[in-house]
Amino acid sequence: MAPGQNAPATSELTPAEAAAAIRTLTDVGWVRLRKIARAFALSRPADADDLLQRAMMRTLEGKRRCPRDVDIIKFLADVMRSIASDWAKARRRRPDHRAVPLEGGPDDPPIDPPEDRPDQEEQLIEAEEAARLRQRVIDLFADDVEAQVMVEGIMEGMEGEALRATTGLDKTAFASKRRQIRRQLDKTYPAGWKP
Amino acid sequence: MNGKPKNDVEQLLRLADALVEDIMNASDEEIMNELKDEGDDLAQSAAATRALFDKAAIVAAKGKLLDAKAAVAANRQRSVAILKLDPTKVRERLRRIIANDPEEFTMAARKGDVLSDEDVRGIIEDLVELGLIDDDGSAKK
Repeated sequence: MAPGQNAPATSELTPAEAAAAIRTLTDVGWVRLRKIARAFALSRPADADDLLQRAMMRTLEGKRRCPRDVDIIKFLADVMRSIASDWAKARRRRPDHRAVPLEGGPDDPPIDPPEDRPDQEEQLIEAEEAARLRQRVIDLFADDVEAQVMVEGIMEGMEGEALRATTGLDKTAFASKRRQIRRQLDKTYPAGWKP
Repeated sequence: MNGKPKNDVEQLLRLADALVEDIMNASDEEIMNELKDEGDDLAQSAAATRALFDKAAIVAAKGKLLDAKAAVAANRQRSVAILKLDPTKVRERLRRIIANDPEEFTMAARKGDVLSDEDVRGIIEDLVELGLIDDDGSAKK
C-alpha cells in the first residue's frame, strides 16, 4: 500500500467507530435506545439498564460488530435481543446477571461467577415466572379485545398480513393499536417486564 | 422471524420484537411526546442513558488494559526464559535455524559472526514471536 493511502474499509464498524456513532446519538436516539432496552428486559434479575449497558460493552469490546449499512440503534437493539434471549436460555447456567461494578482498580481480582450448576427447581421457577408474565400481559388487555387478540397473535408467532387479518384492523388502526399496546406495557413495566 | 415460538420466554420475545419495531418506526416527535406524557424530561432521560454508555466505555477500557497487561506479562516471561539460555547454545541454535533456511535468513547469516549475545537473543525473541521456534530456542515441528 502506498504511503498515506487509507486502509480499505471493512464491511463492519471498528469498536472505535461504533463508539463514535453511539456517542453522537441525539437525545431522542438515547431515549429510543432505553425504550428498546425496556422492551427486551425480560429476564428476572436484569433490568433494562443492565441489558443496554451489556450490549454497549459488547460493542465497545468488539465482541459484536455493527455492519456499516446498519443503523447503530437497530444494531444495538439486535444485540440486546440476543443477550436477552441468551440470558433467558442460560439462567440455569448463569443464574445471576447484573451490571459490572465499576469500583476498584485494574488489579482487582476478576469477578467470581456464581454457581453454574443446573438447578431443576430454578428451571421450574423460571418457567413458571415466564408463564405468569405471559398471562399477566394478556390479562392487561382484558378490556380491549383487539389488543388482546393482537398480543396473543404476536406471541403465537403471527406477523404481517396474517396478524393484521386476525385482528380485523386496517393498516393505520393496526399500527395505532400496536403503539397503544407498547405504551400500556411501558406504563405497567417501567424498568422492564417483571412477573 | 420465522417459526412458532417454543415456550413462554420465546413468546414474550416475539412481543418485544413487535414493540421494538414500533419504537424504531416512531418519529422523533412521537418519542418526545411519549416522554412528555410519561412526565420525563428529554435532556435528563438522554443524559441518564448516556451515563450508561460512559460506564460501559470505562469497563471496556478496563478490560483492554487487563488484556494488555497480560500480554506484557507473557512477553516478559518469554524474554526471561530466553535470557536464561546459554549464549553459546543460543548462537549455535541460531546458526542451525539459518542453515535450515538460508534464503529466509540471509541478512542474519551475513551478520551472524559479528552479532553480540544480546543481538542473538533479540533475533531468537523475534523468531519466538513469529512462532517459528519455541521458547527454548528449538525449531517448531
